[in-house]
Amino acid sequence: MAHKFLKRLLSGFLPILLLLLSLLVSLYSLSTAVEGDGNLKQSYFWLLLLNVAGLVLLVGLIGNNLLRLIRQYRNHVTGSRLTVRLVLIFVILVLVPVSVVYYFSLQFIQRGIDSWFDVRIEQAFEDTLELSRLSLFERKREYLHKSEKIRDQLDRLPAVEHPLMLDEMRRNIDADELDLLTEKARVVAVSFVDSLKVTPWLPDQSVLHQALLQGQYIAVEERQDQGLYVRIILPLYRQGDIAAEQYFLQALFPVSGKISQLAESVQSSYGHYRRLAYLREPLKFSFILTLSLVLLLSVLSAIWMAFYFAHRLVAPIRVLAIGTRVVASGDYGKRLPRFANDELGFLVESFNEMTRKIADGQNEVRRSHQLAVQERAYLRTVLASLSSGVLTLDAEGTVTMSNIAAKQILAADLDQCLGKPFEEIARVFPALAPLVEDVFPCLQDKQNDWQHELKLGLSSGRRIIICSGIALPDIDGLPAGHVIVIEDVTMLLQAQRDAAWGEVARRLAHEIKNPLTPIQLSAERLRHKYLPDMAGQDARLLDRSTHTIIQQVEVMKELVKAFSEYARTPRLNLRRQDLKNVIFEVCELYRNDVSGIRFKLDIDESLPEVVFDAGRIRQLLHNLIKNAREAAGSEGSCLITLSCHGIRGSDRENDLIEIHVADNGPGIPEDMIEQVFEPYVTGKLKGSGLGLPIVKKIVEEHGGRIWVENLEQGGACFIIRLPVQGGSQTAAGNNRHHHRTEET
Amino acid sequence: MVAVRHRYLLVFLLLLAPLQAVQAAAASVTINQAGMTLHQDEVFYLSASFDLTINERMEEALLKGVPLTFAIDIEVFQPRRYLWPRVVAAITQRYRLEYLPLSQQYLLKNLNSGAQNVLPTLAVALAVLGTVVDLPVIDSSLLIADESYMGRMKVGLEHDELPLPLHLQSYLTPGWTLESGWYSWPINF
Repeated sequence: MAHKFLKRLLSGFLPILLLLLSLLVSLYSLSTAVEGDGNLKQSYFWLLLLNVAGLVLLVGLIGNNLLRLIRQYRNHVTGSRLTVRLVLIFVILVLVPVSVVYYFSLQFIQRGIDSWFDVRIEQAFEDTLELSRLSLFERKREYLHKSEKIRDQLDRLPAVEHPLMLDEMRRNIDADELDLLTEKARVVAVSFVDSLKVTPWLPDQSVLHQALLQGQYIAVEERQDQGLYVRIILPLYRQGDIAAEQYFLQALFPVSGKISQLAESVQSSYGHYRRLAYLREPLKFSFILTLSLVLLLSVLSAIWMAFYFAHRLVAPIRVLAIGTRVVASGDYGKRLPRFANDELGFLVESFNEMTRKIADGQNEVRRSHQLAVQERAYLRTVLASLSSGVLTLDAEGTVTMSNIAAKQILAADLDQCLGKPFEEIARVFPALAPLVEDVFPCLQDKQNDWQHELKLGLSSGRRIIICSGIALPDIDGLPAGHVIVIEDVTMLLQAQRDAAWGEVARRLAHEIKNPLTPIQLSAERLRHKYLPDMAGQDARLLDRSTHTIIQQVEVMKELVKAFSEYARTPRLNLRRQDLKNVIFEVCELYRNDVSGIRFKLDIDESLPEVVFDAGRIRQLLHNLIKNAREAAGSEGSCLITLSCHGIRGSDRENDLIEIHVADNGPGIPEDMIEQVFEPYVTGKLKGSGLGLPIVKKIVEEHGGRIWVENLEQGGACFIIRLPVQGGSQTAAGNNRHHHRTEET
Repeated sequence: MVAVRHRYLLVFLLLLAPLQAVQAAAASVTINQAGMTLHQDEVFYLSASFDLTINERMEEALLKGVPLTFAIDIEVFQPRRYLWPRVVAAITQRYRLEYLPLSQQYLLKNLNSGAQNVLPTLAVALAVLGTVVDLPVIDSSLLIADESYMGRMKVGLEHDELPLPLHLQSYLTPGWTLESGWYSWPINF
């Protein structure tokens, strides 16, 4: 607490200013004292000490400041370099003129004081003094002579007469006072010229002693307020009375007024001059000391102020520098405190304004970036949830984006082609080559809006795809690329076709089935009624005709039955059961068949149980086996390869069972391969033309897919994929949706 | 010029150097004896003698017209066992010694009484100064008879009375110190 207070006291401007002011006052007093003011003389020494102490304090403060600055400089504190420079400049600015003034002041003191004194003046004083001495010397001799006469007279007289003679003797020698004194300076007798006077002017005992030793004492002395006197003291010699007390005669002669006055004046002037001359050096010393103190005070206070103002000046610059550094490091929220209303304050204000604007700009950028990211995410989500595949290309034809649907439809991981030219797709995925070949010219020609329908043989089977492209609107006159939308219309077309065929079958069955029974009944009535009564040729004709009618009606009934079979949508009896058993059961039925079908089974023993309707799957297998037998043509040569294995999906829900049914027939002509699952599309002589459509219908009822491929070694292979967890009973239209969820 | 510079240097050195007075070899004051006697008028009178010699520097100043002032401090006190002594009376006799160039004599003036002597030589003047005869100090009625009193005195040169430039120098340069210690004696009724 005390420390803090002291620190604040020593670092504040006001306390230091007070210190400087008090030092200035004391210096002023000092200089006044040097100039000879008697009142301050006593305190001169203390003033001096006070000043020295003040200066030491200042030196301490400056040292403290200096140490701090050096430390800051070494630690590379912001602004310390500038402070050092400013302090140096200030100090030089102060030191140079002050030093010059100091030097010349010293010269003036030296020469000025010396010029007061002159050898000739001194000689004149000496001479004057000597003159005065000589003048007085003559007088003294005269007075001594007179006094000695008196002494001789007294010596000859008995002691008792001395007082009586004294007045007369005094008158004779024209003295002011004549005394007889004892050794102890006691008055024995006195005689004054002035009768009012009663006190003699007694000499010191030592003077009497000296008179006794030297036989005489003569001196010019100054009597208080009465001018100069010549004092003559002579011991009295009294023969034969050794034991008696020693007596002295004292005679006082006034020095005449004018001479006395002049002599005194000469003496005092001479004394004054001598004293001044003697004190010349100490005086110079005092002046120089005072001057040096003043100089030191000025210089030290200037240095301190240099530190103070350098700090003050640099403070805002330092804050600015720090602020700039903070801003440079990316913190735009920094606001600097405003210092003053000067240019620096304005600078700080501008800086704050600048950082605020930058911060705003930065926020704006961040916001728009966020917005862009959101837009992107939104677009991505939208694209992902689109059932149509979307593929975007930039102006150079580089693939920039593809959505999930595109990958599913094209059965290719298009992400591999991101950032690569569009043609690259054909290289990476050869199956998509027709697509690239078809679309590429459109891109090259920069067609704005185009639509193509293509057929692609993909790993997921043959697909009919509608591919449409739109050139993106130009940005700043530059082409912005293309968007290609891909739609798998296979299922749609199939469904349309299926629906049409279903309607045909239903109507056909309805329209045909109704007249068939009356036809058959009529034929049988004819036969019953007329055949027994007829004979011969007629009977044979009738028999044959009715038989044909009945037989053909039967055939037609079969046909109608097949139609209605195709057209109806039975309730599925779905259960979780073992598919292997069903396959084995069906195969077993044909084992002893006259047709001599051979089976080659490749059933995965570890197949899981699958949800399906056993009756429908049996029919499916019957139909396929029948189709294979019919395809094989000649009896006994039919070899059916039946394999069944599981395909692991991304999770249990998506596990699939794949069944391959391959024959060794001639295969399916390429131009028919698309339509084999449509009614009445058959290359065979026999058959209703509804076998495969029913197969397809059953597969779709189970939520599966079926397609056919020609094998390289000959023959066709029907591939069926069924979901292990069972599929929906819905029609093919929903199949695609189901498929996607399976894969996502 | 060099000499001048050196002097400035000296000034600075003196400013910074501790202020110390080196004893000058020739200046000294020794109190030989001092004592008080009770006279008929019931007043204690002091008689003392001390040898006072001044050094060349002081003598030069004296001859160059600078008066020297000496002070004789006389105290009557009661010594106390653990405390500083209780001063009953204190008087200071001050003498000014001055050179008279005209008569080439020395003027010794008692500044208290105004009495002055003109003395032919410095030695005589100092001898006169060094002899105190029957200086009345204290009335015996101010003292309590049963208690013990002591007297003490010291003699010294008064710096403050020197002219200012010399005054400053007397502190900063050696040779200007002249001071006796206290000289004590018992006072007997």
